[in-house]
Amino acid sequence: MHTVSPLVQRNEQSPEKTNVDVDKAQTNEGATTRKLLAVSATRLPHNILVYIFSYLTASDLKNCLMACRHWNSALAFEDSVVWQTVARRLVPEPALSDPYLFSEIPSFKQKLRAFKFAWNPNDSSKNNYLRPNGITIHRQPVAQSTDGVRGKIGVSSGCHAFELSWEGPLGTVAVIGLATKHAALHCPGYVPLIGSDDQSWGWNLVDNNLLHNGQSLGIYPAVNNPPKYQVGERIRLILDCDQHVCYFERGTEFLGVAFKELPPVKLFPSICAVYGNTEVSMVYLGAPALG
Amino acid sequence: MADGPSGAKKCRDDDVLFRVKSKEDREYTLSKKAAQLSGTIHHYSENYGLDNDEAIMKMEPMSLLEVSSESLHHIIRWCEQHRNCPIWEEEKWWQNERDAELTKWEDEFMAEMTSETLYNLFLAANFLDIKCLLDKCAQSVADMIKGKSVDEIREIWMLENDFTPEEEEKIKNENPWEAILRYQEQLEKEKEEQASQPAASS
Repeated sequence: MHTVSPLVQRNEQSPEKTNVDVDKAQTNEGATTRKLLAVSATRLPHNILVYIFSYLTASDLKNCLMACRHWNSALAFEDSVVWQTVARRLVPEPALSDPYLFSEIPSFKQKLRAFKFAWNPNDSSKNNYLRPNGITIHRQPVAQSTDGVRGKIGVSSGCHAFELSWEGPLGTVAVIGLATKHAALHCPGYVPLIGSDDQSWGWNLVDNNLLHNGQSLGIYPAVNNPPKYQVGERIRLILDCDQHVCYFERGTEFLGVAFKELPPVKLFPSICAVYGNTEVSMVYLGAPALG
Repeated sequence: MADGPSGAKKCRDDDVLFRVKSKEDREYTLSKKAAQLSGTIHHYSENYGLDNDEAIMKMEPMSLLEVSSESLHHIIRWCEQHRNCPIWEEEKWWQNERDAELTKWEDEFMAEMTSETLYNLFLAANFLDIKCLLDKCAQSVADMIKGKSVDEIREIWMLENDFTPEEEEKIKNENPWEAILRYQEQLEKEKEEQASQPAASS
């Protein structure tokens, strides 16, 4: 840790300036004003740009992405060293080393994005806690309580796919669905909280009922005797904000439109659980592959 | 190379000298150890049987057609200074243990570069595959980007905004950057707290 950041050196307002530092500040004055000339700096080769970018933080990378096409294309490769560095810095290690969790999203940029969309530990019932992997929510065993959680990011435009999987028994109520930021996430008793008012839309995996505003919208998928959810199965929740619809997919199977005429407000993926030590993982997949 | 930096290591007389030629056809020499810092030279000497002192002493100068005399001069200074470091193959050794004196020398070395020399040096280091120098250059350049807005970056780098407004909007939207920013801040805050705690207790 002997490295003195050049930025610090150049900071002439440094309060603890000794004589030596003054000298340094003066010799470095030229460096402060140093600017890259027009010498085709715009066309630095990709591998050099990648080298530079791997020293930057996510916020600086955002600016670099927007600077020009050439730089944007240098960052376009989603599995490059740059994204790997940032992902390793931000995404919890247990999530990155889990071979199963991110099997649908191989690149580091996607993993970074999935982590950004993951459950929000600060927007959850207090009986839930987020596992160290940052992706899985764990409901503690508490009697007579229904506990929900929302994702970190709500969306109001575009098309988004979330992959949900439920570990451990479902209990009497296990709802996955959507909620606005106003929907309640905790209540006493064992009730399908998501779908209980006009702020949330839920699919109860236990009895396959669709719920909104406290009313059942019917059985989903709309077939005779639809198969029950198997623990560990991955369900994709797809929210199409442009068409204002939400539907689910299991594997390659499209299960039919679940909710129509969703309001144009920010909607968060959310769940509510009643069973002790049950765990739900959510992985954001980005825009769904259509067709 | 009379104008070497203060306190820089020079080739010793008994060193085996490796001969290289710049783009402008000027000949330079550097010690065998320093030359091995460059991946390109390393491979070259393997391919041309320059693995013993005798062969190196008899060698024809290696032409580096992409490196100008000025860059080559700086590169040789850098390599001679770093010649006792482990050779280029080893993973990121330069990030682990830092010799304070060497770091100071590196910072001074970087500070005297003008933007144009730095740019050329960067390209030359890339061509010669000198990992420690590449890293240092990248760090210096990254420091110029850090904390700058998009417009400032464009100004410094003379970049042209060649996006259409729609594309720009799309890039802004497709990344959950605000959330990333928030998390970054949170992480840094936690780090600061951790750093301040031992200081407070001591």
